[in-house]
Amino acid sequence: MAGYSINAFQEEIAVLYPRLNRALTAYLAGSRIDPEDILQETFLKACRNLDRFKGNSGLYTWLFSIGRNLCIDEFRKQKRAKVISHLPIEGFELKSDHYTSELEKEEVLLVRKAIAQLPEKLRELVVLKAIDEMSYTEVSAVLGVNEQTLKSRMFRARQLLAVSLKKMGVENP
Amino acid sequence: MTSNNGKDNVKREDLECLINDAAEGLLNSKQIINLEEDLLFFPDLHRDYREIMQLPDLSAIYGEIPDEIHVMHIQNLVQKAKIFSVSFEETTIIWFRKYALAAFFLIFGLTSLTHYFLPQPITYQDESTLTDIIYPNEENITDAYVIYLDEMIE
Repeated sequence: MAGYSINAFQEEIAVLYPRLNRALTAYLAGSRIDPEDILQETFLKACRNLDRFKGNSGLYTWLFSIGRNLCIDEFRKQKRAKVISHLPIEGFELKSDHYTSELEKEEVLLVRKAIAQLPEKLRELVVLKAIDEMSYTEVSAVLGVNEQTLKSRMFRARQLLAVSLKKMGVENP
Repeated sequence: MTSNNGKDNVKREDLECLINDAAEGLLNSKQIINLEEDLLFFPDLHRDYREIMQLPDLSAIYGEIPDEIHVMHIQNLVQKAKIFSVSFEETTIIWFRKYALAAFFLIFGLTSLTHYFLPQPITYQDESTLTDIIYPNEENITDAYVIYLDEMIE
């Protein structure tokens, strides 16, 4: 498959945008980076480089890879790790959130914070596999890591999340 | 002993994968019973299994963002994407039409300003001055020759 037509891509934007928005919002939780900025830049970069998309992976997977690289560049500039540890859970709340109770809200925000505090490699895996619900094959295409290693990392991520939530006082999340 | 450790490690890795599968809802009830029986030989993994199975559904932690929030951004993106769909020739013509007149005045203005500010070349209105500059030596020779002739005549 040689490239991807710009018109076909335009038609896909309406479908791809909401999903990528949700994934990048989770990926950037706890940072000062606005997901909207990264999203716009991701799509424009994709438009400029559509001829490079060979169709070996899915269009969404390719887009996420572009977005992830842009985020990594921003993380380097902003030294992300220092920001997250001091951020109160309210910092993980989104304008679009709807909760049925204060308890549910607190629990959701704590889980978001626990995910954001995971080491980088585990955090991006949790976002892609558990939140964005990609298959291990798709995650492997984005991260360039074999599936067996990904499964092993996923176990480690879940282990750490359980420990972290316990420390935060969420005994039975 | 080493061989047993090796087997244990392999078994542990398999069990970790199975715990993952269980957390992702990929195991049926019979497979879960088998897993839990195997985990009895690995108390630490069994504890991890219990804690992991209590984790909330992570896919629900970030809800869907309402469509109305997306619409404006999507329209904006589609507009920008359209720019890329126009061919190079069309883009060139559009830009030329739009900016040709502006470019003409800009170049004209810049040329005039350059002409105004740059040092002007020296102009010589007096012909004799110009001759002096062009033929400085020849004039001296002529003068000397005239003086020489005058002396001869005298």
